[in-house]
Amino acid sequence: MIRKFSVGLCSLCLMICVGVLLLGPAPALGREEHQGHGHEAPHGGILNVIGKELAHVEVLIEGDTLEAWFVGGGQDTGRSVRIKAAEIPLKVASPGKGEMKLVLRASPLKLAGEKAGDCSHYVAKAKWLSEVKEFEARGEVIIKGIREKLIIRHPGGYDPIHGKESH
Amino acid sequence: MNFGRIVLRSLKHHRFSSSVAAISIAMGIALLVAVYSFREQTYNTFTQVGLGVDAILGPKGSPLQIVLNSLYHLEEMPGKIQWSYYQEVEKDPLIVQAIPFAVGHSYGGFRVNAIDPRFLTEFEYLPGKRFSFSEKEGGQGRAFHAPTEAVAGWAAAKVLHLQLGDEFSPVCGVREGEPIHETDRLRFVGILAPTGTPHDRAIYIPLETFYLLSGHPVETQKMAKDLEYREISGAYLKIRRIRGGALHPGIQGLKYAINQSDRNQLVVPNEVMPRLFNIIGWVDRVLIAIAAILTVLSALFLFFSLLSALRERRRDLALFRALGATRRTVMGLMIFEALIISLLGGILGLLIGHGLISVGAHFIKVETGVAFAAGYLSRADWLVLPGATLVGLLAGLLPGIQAYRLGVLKNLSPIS
Repeated sequence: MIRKFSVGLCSLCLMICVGVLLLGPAPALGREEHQGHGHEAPHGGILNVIGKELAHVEVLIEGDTLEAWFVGGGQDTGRSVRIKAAEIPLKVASPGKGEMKLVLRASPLKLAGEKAGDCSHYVAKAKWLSEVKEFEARGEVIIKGIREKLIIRHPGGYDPIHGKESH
Repeated sequence: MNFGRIVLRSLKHHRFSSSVAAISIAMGIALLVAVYSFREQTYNTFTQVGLGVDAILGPKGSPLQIVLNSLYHLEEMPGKIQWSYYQEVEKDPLIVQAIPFAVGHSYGGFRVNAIDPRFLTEFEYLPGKRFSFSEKEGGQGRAFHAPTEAVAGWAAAKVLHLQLGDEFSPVCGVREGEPIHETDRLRFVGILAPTGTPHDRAIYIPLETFYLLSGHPVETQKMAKDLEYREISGAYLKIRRIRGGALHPGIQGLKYAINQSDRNQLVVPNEVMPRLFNIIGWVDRVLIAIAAILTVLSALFLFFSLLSALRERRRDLALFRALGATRRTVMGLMIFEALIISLLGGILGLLIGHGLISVGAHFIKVETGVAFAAGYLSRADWLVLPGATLVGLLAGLLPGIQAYRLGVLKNLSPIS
């Protein structure tokens, strides 16, 4: 019995050691830094895929303002992709509202060294943006030298590759 | 004779083995308490406090390296940024305060940081706390005004035995054997009161002085006047806060924009430091494992010493039984004895653990400038006494069962 008990205590000792060593990062130790390596929207908006994940456009709508950031494809969504267009016209279809127009205008990120004609940030304003719950906007954009369809779906996002509406 | 006195008599009789068991339990617990306390306090100091800096504007490179260099005076800065870019960032409405600095010099093993004078007078290193030169608080002198003046952090002054009026020539670099700006003599006009942060471990000189040091190339010296070409190592940034004291969410947009630039990046220390903890997390896990082994081995030792005591006391216990003590009473005697030893070990462990923290905290403060409180209660502290009780119960259980099963007639007969 004594032998069994000793073996039991030694096993407990071993289990404690293994347990402590196999513990994942302690919760208090916080999270890893994610700096542009996740398939995630850096501004908390919705990602829409461009082409075969050649790039993404992240869209964030607040009131009557739509902000769009062109970012990298695949997992590279933390990196901006600059395009030359000063304006990007879009045709918008919204249930119950019919067809509307929206123009994305270049709004260079000065701290990133951007300027009109070499810009990744676009802004559009329209009163109806604050009124509609969902829409699909279509247009065209030349990105990384390739002409691609630009499809923005709100609020789910556009992602034909992963078969999901949003990320 | 009552139950308690019997246990105390027994403990007194086996005082050597009981003391050794209690001390060995205390050692394991002390190590656990100290490791947990240092671990939690380190995490709190390095992440939640943030040393008063919400973000660092720095050059492209490892964010961890930038934080270690600019806040903890370790490592080296991976590059420089343009003054004009710093000024553009400073204009952003999210920036409440921006303090530019230039690193790369040292003296006596401590970093010499050239920094905007507002750092010493307006910067809050903790919410509501600014640097002080008050003698009541342990400081001396005043902030620098002239290019030849310098201020020492508390720990730097203590280790280097610096006094007001002492002069020094900064070393152009942070490694041993690097050239000294021998013709440049800077005079200490202030010693900062201790802050309990790594800011104590540096020497501060005016930002302009960095460019005027005689050994620097002409291009660097020109930067003193020609702001267009001026370069700095980085800038501490305080970001606008929203209700509840949280950082304005716009910081993500600001960080994104700056990080898209060719030469610059915005580093948020509270996002970066957890990476360091994930790297060094293995060290404290190993220490915790060692402490756990030590505690379990102590429990094992306690178990064997109780068993050996039981063998010696079989006749006594049989006599108790013959005098009317129940089986439960003799079992309780053994378990209670084990509980007292382990609880004594637990209390002693708490005291030794906090003693260790106190001694360690003194050396850490001198070496790193980070203050640890010996009285800090970590999660381990709250678990010590329940844990010691459990250890005592486990160690006393089998000897207790054996005492319970003790045959009275068989053990009443003389041993020899």
